[in-house]
Order: sequence, then structure tokens, then C-alpha cells
Amino acid sequence: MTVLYITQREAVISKAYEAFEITLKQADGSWKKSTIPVQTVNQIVLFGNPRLTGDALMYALELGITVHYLSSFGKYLGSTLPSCSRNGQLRLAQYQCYQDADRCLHLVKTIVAAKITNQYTVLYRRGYRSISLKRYKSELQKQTNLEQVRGIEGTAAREYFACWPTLLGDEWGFRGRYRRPPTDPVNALLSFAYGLLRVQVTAAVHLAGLDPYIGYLHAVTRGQPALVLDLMEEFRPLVADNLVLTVLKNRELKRQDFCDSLGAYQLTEGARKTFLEAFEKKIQDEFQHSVFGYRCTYRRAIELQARLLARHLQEGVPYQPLVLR
Amino acid sequence: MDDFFLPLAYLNAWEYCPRRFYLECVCGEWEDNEYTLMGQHVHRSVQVVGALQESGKRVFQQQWVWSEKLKVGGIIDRVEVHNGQLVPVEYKKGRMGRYLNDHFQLCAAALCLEERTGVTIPYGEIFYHGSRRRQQVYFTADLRQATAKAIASVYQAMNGPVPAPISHQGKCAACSIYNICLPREVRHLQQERQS
Repeated sequence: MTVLYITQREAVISKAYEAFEITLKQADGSWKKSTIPVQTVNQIVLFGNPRLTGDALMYALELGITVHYLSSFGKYLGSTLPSCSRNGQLRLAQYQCYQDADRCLHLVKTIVAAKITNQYTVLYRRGYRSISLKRYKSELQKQTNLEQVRGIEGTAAREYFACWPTLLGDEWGFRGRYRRPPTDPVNALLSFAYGLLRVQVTAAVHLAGLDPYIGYLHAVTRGQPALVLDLMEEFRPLVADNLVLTVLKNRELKRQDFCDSLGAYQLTEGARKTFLEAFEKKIQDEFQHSVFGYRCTYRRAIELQARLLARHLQEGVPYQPLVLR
Repeated sequence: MDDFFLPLAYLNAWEYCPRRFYLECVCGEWEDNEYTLMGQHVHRSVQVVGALQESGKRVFQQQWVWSEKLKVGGIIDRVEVHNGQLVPVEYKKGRMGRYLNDHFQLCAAALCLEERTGVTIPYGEIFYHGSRRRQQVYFTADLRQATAKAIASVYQAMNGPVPAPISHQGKCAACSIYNICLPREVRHLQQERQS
């Protein structure tokens, strides 16, 4: 199963029998058609506003394919979702957990501890041993309220990114995480990677029948998809950060692949394509699951975590975030 | 739950696996797999609704049946009239005598028919697509009792928590909602907590 990414705004995706027909504009102005069997696709991600015909959309929904819309900069705009879980009781359980301060605190600590462990592993595997990150993990357990846990998460994240200049070298000019807007190429790449990860987690949250807007670590405010952001935490270091570091280390992207617009950085068209391919490869990467022992891809792992969170909320099955050793 | 009638098909799901029943019926979860699609396929020949005459035999297809007493209801694939006697017929994709779930479903349909018509129904038939054979199922006192008991336990379970996963590799492998139920993972995480 694959994700079909369309990055060209002139593109047209239509249905031809049991395939998607993709019409792309060529450099010489001509049009080129290609087909991809629908059965091999499980998500479609559209950048800019390529046209998706009604036939193609209906067929996608019928077969359970989610269609995600992103701006040409990669900002998530929304999704067209196939009918999925109708589990009303799960949502009630999700809200009940929200009302229970002790349960919230326990769950949030579990998530933050996993994120910090994974951040530590990212650094460790690249030969950098950050003792202080480990210290935050034990400090976490002593905290008695949500605000304190969020504080530790933030402090740990700043320390984690403070190690990045050493890993990346001076040439990238990375001085820490800046999101709005990304002020250097590395931050632009991180934002793009997190955006792609967010699409995957959003799909998984919908599939599992959870309410994306009621979360525990992230405040339910400003319309942010708090639960999606919660579930993303364990995967940020594993999928996005690892990928960004690898791509830059392998020089798959160079400085000229980013453009500066009055101090705000973004990826050029070609660089986006390169990174999408790398992201797709990463998310299809098989690894041995640290809890269940079987081999699975990151994509499967993301869906699994969403469903396990559902089982935790509805049945009290202990929630264990994905941690790589 | 005032005007709720337990669908006959869920009785089948319950006998297959209580957890599957709960996730399907109470939580509204559903996923198709090759087996559920095949199940829909074998029903194609009985999809014509209403009464018809078939080689001198009167046949009702896709017949609504229900029981006020048992609070069950649903659609029975076929009801044939053999020598003035009503014979409920269910179409199933598999082979004979795998699990008792098909028997409960058929018996419950017969109990509904009896309540509607006031006539005793001694037996029904299950057409198994896998073996292309009809199996006669006699509605013995034991089967009737077991069916009524199953219905009562389903009603009880509906108001309870999610039932724990079962340990049956064959059933789990064929189950379309395996990926929602996650029996292996749930058992693993729960055992880890206990130890």
C-alpha cells in the first residue's frame, strides 16, 4: 500500500476503470498520462490544488482511501474521509479520560517520557550522549500537574535541539527550533516533515474513531487537533527528526534547495519532491516492534498506536508508546 | 433499549466471538475482508425480495421476522413451504457444522416465525456454499433452550464492558475486525501489567 502524492497544481486525477489516471503537465507544455491501480493506494495527498474528478473521489471513498489537501507550502488544510469508525462509546471514553486529572497526568507522562527516550536515542545513535535528557525522564515522574509536565517537555526539547548544531555542522546555521516562520533551512525541513507526519497521524486517528480535537498533553484550545499532536510526539524523533538528520547528512538536500523569502525559509519544488520520496521510504521502513516483537512499518505502527490508544481509553489496556531501543 | 430488537445476524456474531459481537453491535465497528465479501456474494441468489413460486414450491425470500417475546428480529434469507410446513433456510458461505453460530441464528429465526404464525416449525435448512449442500437442522428442545439462553446473555453483555479477546487462532485469522480488536496486542499489554 502506498500514498499517492501529487505536487503539481496543474495535475488532474481521474478514474479509468479500476485505476487512477494522472495527467501531468510536461516542461514543453504537453500533457502526459499515467495510471496507477487504485487497489495499491491507501491515501492520496494533494499539494496546491490539483483537480480530482468526482468519479475518482467517489471511488477513493468507496474503497476507504483518505484524500488529504495541503497548501503548496505543505500546510495541512483538511481531508476527505471515507466513512470509518462509528464508535460513539470510544469518544465518550475519550472525553471521560479528559475529565479525570489523574488518568490524564499518567497518560501524558507516559507520552512525554517516550518522546524524551526517542530523542535520546536519536542523539545516541549519532554518537552523542546527552545525560541531561535522561535526567528529565526521572524528573518527569515526580511532577504532580499537567503544566509541570508540559514545562519539562519544553525544556527537554530545547536541550535536544541544542545538540543539533553539533550533529549538523556549522554550515546549516541551525540555532534551535523556530516554527513560525522557519528561519533557516533545517527548520523549514523540520516543519515540512512534521506536516507530513501529521497527515499520517490524522488519518490514523480518524480510522480509529477518536476525536482529533480532544487531547491530553496538548491543550484543547485555538482549534488545535490536540489528540493528533499528542500521538505525534512519540513519532517526531523516530520518523521526522531521524529522517531530516539522515537526508542532510547524506547531502540529499543542499543549501540551494531552500529559498529565503524575507527571512522565512521554504523548500524549492524539486527539493520537496526529493524529501517526499525520502519520507515515503522512511514510513515504509520495516523495523522490529519493541513491544510485540513482529516486524512492521512506521505507517502500520502509527495506526497501531492510534488503535491501542483507543483500547486504552475504552478498556483500560495500558498504553505503551512506541519506543525504539 | 425499549424498541430494540437484537438482529439475528448478531446472534451469529456473538456465538463466533463475544468481543467481535460487542465491537460490531455496541461500538458500531465494521470492516470487510474476503470472507465478509464472499458472504455477501453467496446471498446474491436470494436477493429477490418477496413471495415466489419455484417448481411448484412456494418460497418467501428476504422475509422480515421478529419475536416480541425474545426481542430479536431480522431478515431470513428464505422460507420455503414443504407439504404445508414452513422451513426457514439460511445461506452460508462456509462448510457444514463448523461452529454452532449458524444453528442459533436459524433457530432464532424459526422461533420468530412460530410466534408470528402460531405453527410449530420442526426443522430448518442451511445451504452451505462451500460444500454446495443443505444441512437439515432440527429445532430440538435443547437447541431452542440454548438459543433463548444465548439471546438473554447477549442482552446482558450489551450493558457490560468490552469482553476480553478470545484465544482462537482460526477465528481470529478469519475475522475482519482483527485490526480493530487487536487480540494479541491487548493480551500482551494486559499480561505485562500483571507481571
